[in-house]
Amino acid sequence: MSDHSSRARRWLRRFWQWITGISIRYKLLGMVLAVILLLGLAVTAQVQAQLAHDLRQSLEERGIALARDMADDATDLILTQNIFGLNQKLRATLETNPDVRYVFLLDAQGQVRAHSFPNRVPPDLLAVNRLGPDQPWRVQILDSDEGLITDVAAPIFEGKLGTVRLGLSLIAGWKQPWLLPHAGFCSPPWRLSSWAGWPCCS
Amino acid sequence: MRRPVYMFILGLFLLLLTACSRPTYPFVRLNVEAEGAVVAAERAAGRLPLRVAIAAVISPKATFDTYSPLLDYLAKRLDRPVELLQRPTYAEINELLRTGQADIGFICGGAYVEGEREGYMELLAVPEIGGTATYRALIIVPADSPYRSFEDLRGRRFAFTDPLSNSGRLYLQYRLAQMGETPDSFFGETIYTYSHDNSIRAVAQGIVDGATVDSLVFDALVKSEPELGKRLRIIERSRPFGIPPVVVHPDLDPALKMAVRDALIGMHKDPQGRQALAVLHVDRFVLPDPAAYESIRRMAAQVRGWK
Repeated sequence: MSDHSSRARRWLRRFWQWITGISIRYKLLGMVLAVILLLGLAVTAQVQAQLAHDLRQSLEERGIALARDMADDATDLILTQNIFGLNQKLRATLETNPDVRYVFLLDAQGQVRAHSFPNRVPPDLLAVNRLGPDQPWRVQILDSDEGLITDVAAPIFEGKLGTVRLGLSLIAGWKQPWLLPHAGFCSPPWRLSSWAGWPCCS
Repeated sequence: MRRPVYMFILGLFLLLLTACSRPTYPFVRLNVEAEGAVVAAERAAGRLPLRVAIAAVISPKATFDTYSPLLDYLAKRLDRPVELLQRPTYAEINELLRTGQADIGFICGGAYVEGEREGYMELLAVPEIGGTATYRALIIVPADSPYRSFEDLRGRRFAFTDPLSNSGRLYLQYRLAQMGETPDSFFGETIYTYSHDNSIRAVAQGIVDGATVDSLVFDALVKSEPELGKRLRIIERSRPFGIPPVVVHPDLDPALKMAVRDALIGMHKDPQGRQALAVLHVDRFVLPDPAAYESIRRMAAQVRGWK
């Protein structure tokens, strides 16, 4: 252990001697280059981070708008027991919005009322993103076997008739995967931008 | 002296190496075939529910809010679950009663005389409001419009409620027939809104120039939304008609029929019943007088061409 640390110390000492041994001319040149490089990296990081943040926000807003629209349309269909109409509405939402991965409706007791899955609603989905009593909506990013999903929950008729859950696929919605919150973009060099308070990762 | 410098450089490297680790989101499996929830059965096991069909006199949301306390009261009094059935049109509600898919119905007088004539409806009880079991049709226009009389609406856009509605269509058809007119010949355009509150809002929003609506719905809506009332003006009131009744199929189990009638008639004597009546803007339910619907029968006979 002490052997390792003394070796590292020796290595650092040598590195320091090398640095201090360089002529002032090269030192200045090196510093200018380093500042330009760091500044460039920082600006790129900031622009990409802001873009990622804005795209993620717009995706969430779209998900909320779709879920609330579905909840509003579903109200009269549920109250008039129009199950066929309700399923047609789910189908139309999926067909007209390719990034919508799933939609399902729960009743006030949490039972599935209608859904867009081929057979059953995956149990994992039922356990997450539960809406509070007075929440107008709730957004939760989920990891899945198909990538990241933005899951939006919205109440139907103030929650008296249950909840709409709508999942937007991040990959389908975003053509640039490097903008995803978890992409390699947030690797070590960019950590500095996050450390400095920029929205690199969230 | 050099140790702090080494430590600073080392610290900076460590900071850089602290990768922004992938945020941890809850993991869900989307592709599971055998597990998961299916659509729940519509009815839970247990006692069969009393199926109450309510015509879309007001919109489905308003009906749900207005009638839920009444249904809770009936469930308690009859000791059985109560199921609310709504449909977009009066004809579909009549069909539920005709085919036995609903046990009792809260319907419009115009739909009642149709069901009575075809032999699948009988009166069970009627609501009493302000000491009377009657209501009127009101012809309304936007408050800032130039229309002062019914004749001013000639060639204009007009809203009916439902093809089977008395105050929302039949009365006006009859009135036009007395003038030798039909809705098509008198108005420029007519639409159906499928509930009285929708017709009232259609006039307030300027979607149509006038509408014929139920006075009970109009009074209740204007009371709860005074701003809406300020945007509307009544230009004509009809004579009184028999109030929208509670009906059953004549073949309904007599014991159930009697139990529901007793529960409704005794509602104003029960604290929970009184609360439900207050939400409905009804004083109490009373026994019906079939003769109160005679004027609607006569109008329907003429307008619908009954032999």
